[in-house]
Amino acid sequence: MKKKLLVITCILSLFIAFTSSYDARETEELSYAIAIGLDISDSEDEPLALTLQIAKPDSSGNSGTKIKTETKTVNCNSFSLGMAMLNLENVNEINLSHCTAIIISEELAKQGIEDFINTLANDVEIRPTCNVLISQGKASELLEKASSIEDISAKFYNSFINSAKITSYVATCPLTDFYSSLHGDIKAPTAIYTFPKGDTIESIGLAVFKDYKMVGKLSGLDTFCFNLLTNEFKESTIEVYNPKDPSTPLSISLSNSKNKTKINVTLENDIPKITCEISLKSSILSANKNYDYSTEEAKREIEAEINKFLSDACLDFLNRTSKEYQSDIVGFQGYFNKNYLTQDELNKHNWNELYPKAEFEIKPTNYLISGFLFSKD
Amino acid sequence: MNFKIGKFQAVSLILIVMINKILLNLPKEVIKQSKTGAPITIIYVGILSLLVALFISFLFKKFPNEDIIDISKFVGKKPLQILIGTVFIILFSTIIITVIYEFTNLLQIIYFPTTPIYLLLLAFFLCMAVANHVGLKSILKTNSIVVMLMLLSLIVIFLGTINNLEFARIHPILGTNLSNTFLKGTENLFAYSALLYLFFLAPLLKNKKDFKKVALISTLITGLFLVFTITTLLTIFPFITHSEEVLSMYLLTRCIEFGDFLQRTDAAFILLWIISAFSYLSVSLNFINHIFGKLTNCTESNSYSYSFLGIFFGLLILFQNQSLFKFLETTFYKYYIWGTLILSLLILIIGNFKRKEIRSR
Repeated sequence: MKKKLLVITCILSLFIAFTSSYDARETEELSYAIAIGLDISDSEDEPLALTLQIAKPDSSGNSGTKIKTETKTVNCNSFSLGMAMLNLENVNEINLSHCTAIIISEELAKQGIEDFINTLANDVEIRPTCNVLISQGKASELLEKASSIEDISAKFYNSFINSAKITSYVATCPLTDFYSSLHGDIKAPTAIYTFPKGDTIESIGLAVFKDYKMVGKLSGLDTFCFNLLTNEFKESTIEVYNPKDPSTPLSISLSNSKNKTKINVTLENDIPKITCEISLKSSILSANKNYDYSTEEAKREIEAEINKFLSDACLDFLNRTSKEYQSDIVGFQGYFNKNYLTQDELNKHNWNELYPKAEFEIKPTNYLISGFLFSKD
Repeated sequence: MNFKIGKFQAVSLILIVMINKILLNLPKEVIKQSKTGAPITIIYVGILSLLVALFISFLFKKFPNEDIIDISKFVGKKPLQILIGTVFIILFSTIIITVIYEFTNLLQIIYFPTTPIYLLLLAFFLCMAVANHVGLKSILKTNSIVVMLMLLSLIVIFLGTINNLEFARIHPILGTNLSNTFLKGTENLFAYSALLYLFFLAPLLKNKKDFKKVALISTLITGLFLVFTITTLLTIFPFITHSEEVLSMYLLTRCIEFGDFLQRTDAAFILLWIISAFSYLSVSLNFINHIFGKLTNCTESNSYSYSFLGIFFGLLILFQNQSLFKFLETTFYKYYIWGTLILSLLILIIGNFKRKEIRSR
């Protein structure tokens, strides 16, 4: 009996201690930010402009609860100070648990992000899966545009990621990967490139970073190659031209095969030789009445055209990252490191100096399968 | 201790130590020292610890019903018993203090930023007091269930983060250089600190022949989970080799998402971890009790453990200094484990010779 009484007393005392009302944070007392925007401010004293897109549940209509959003901007010296100022302005405490996007303006990204990215990555409320985006113009303007869209929710920014699976013109850039890439990783950081388009916002391509600074951007096709080489490729559609009928483009659907992209990096005369073996499945989406695709010869011709397309696109992308941006976003350094057993051996080489001199060889293979519901008579 | 335990409970007893060390940044300490060579180091140290475990079980063959405290009395009478007893009491006390500090610190940062620290501390101390009251037998039974749940949770963490693994980050596979990975890497034997609990296991076992099996199985499982954890951390967070974070395993749980439905699963893991910490702390407190009882010839009572709890509570309230606890957890703990292991092995070896000599006479 004594034991039971002791246990019950202890449990009750714990309940009382931890359910006390003085430090409770109820959901109705919180405002949830779904995106964070960061810009260079107009003020010299407070160089950072912090914008939050805050969700406002609206149950006034007949069609259930709608989510509307509003944006709030403050000029500040740091992210934490900006949050404190926004909390002062806001009735409820701002919570970042549902934040799915950190949008940084291109201007600020080019200037350097070291002042705030570590703070953001260290914030307990921000999820590590939250995506990092770079906006073409001001991040605040982009968020205002997003807020004007009806019924926006935290999932809005994840829709870009879903489109990445179908088009491969975007790649996922979660905060944890971005932060890792900034701190002694085998690859340089990238972020989703986004811009306003008409009434909405669109994301195609990637922003390329070298250390804490944005050094360039990649097109949708470059991002397609990036996904291919990093084994993140799911499916995409490309256009190739048949040599026998150069005026008519063929739409080809590409999808990943069982074989992953194989990368080999060797060092010859202080020049890295990088070989990438890409393997894909392809199918023809558009038919041409003048040409018969069902023969073995035609199949081989189209496969060769697809291989040429892949090879050219990948070489163009890789030369841009190595010669122009000098930023190893694919992570070839990891494959280079494989050649050495110890860090002491590896320290004899400086990958950052070697990568701009790299020579690439792309070996694509694709297996053409029928994409038609019916074939030619 | 007037009861006996089976193989399963004995293995669970050793594993609860390992699990809590994994949670409390042990893998991170190994990574910090051996860099990318950490998985190889931990496998190599694991083989060494297997040999040590076999050696301990061999030495205990002549002492099937005695623990290290009894053997030290046999070897060096009361002064040596007091010395070795104090060494172990300091070790278990350090464990209790650092575990409670780390967990309360984590809880305060993540969930209870405005709750006074003494309330969080009280939660741990109340649980330890209740556990101490019900006794080691009940604690060990509960511990077996907790260990199973914890091993399952660690497996879920590995599976949940499998898509984030980037194995290219593990190169160069031998770390900084061979001497750092293998020679200096031997220091990482402290990762298998659960071996020290083997020195108290022999009299607890129902079947004395199980000692060797328990030592081998627990060391193998410890090694396996350490390799998995270290590889996972290294391949997901390359910055871990030169950063300081609350709990590195917590960072892993934050990355776990099972589709759109199961997100932010870290809270569930933390709940499990707290239960596991309760179990570990209660076991450690009971070992302090047991040793103190033998040193003072008061084996029948466990009331003085409340005094120990009071002292620990006071110390934790007094010293809320992060650098002090970091020092205790890393430098002090690492070398203290080494010292204790060598001292205990020496006593065991001398004890074996002495017993042999007595028998031959």
